[in-house]
Amino acid sequence: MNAPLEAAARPVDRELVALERARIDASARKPVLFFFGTALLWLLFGTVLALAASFKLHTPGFLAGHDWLTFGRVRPAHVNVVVYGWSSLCGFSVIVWLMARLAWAEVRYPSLLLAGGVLWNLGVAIGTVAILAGQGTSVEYLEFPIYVPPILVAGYALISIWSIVIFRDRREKEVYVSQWYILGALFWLPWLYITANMLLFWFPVGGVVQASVLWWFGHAVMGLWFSPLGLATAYYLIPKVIGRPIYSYYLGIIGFWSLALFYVWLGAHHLVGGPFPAWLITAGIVGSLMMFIPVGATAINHHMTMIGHFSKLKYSPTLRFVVFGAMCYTAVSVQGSFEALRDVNLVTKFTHYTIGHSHLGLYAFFSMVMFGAMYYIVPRLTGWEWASPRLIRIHFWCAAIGVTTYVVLFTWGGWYQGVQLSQPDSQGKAVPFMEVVRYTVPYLIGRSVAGGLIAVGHIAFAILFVLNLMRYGTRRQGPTLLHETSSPVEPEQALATTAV
Amino acid sequence: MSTGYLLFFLTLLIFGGGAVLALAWAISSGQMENLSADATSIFAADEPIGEMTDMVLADRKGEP
Repeated sequence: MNAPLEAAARPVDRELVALERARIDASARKPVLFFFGTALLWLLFGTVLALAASFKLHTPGFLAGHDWLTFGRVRPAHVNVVVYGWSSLCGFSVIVWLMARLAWAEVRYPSLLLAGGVLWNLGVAIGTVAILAGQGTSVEYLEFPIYVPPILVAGYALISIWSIVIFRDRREKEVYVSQWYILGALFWLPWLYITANMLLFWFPVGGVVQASVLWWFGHAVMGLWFSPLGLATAYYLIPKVIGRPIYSYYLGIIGFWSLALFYVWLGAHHLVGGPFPAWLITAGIVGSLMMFIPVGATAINHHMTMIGHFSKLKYSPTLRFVVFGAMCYTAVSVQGSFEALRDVNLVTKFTHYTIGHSHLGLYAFFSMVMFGAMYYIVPRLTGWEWASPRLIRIHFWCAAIGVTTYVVLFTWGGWYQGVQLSQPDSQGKAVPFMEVVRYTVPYLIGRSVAGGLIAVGHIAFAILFVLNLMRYGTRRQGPTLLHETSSPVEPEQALATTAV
Repeated sequence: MSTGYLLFFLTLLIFGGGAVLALAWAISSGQMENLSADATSIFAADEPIGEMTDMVLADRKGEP
């Protein structure tokens, strides 16, 4: 470890490096704030759609008078808005910001990233309107009509190529584990998305092969796009916030490469019980169980890094959200591995259990980590601290209690829903379907209440975000507040104090 | 149908090959050699090891 890394570094070194870091942050400001801002708008819209879909399941007459608000359109609109609008745009933000910071390289021509973001938002907007208008494809996670993917791919190409250019410009030659995850995600998403669109819509494969392509994409997009971005963020922010290097970099690398090796096999476990070759499904199940390696490596690594520092959760909103998310990553991955087993799958398939699982992944893990990232990144880009610690606490507790309630209710209710659907009652007779439906109603009402709590958290966060952009609150102290107007520091001069 | 299979194997080749090349580059460029240096690369003189960088909620109870 070099002397400049110690707290006792000379003040002049400290100031020079801080100025350089501020300059790099400032270069990413416009695209990153644009991605975060539009992501937040999609989150609010996605929440409204989610509540509407949730209410409809226990109150079928709710908003039933308009065909564009029927469950069959609102539910896929919600899924696509949160997957492509909220989650992916947050992902782009952390890609650009983390890549610039870790590479010690400025973002050149940020307007190209902005153009990519505009195209991506345009694609999501057109696709969502199309789904609500009844033009959805009915292929899960790919409901946008076939004229939308080219717009998304064009936007993605601009963002991803420019992110790789930042990596190419890097002055820090050590590649941190977060960069591995980001590079992997940038590489995997176009593979998954373009191949799935080609094989399902442009040159459609026939018969049951369609289902295998769909679930190869549907599952891998979670594990090879969102998980790497969530883990990249956690691997940077946990050590950064607490001021302690990651417990084992070796475990981090093992986690990355084993995820790369195993995850792409997982989708086949969605086909358990379907008319597919047994080897295909077995390969999916084996891949799912092999996930214990990357997940165990990551869980041990994060936990051992945090040991002795848990008290810091009281002071850092970033740490609260990211650590909550990281714990849920372990939970959702372990749950997913067991869910792939044939005996478990027999019960949980086609039940609310699966919906609980997907929200444990995309909300409790990924979205919570993204909230943590926003709490860390936004003040460093605007120069203003968050206006209200009370609103931050409201956001955290509403989101954490809301999603925990959601997942517990659907895990419990969904399991017994599956038991009743798949097994005879005590008298050896099949349980009538409507009886099973009635059994789920209290859980569905509970889910709406949990969703309402989550929505309150989102409103609190949206208020905080707007207040921050409007410069309410306190100005951040220190050189990270400086923007383009700051006098540039010679990179060599600053970097001379950062080399490891 | 045949175009679909051609695409499938083409993407498998491109992306599978890409992953192998990435791993080969990582090993040959020494990324796997000094892992402790990689772990500390996120710290610098302005944000050194041992200092918290986020304490927004500390105002009520004082600094940790």
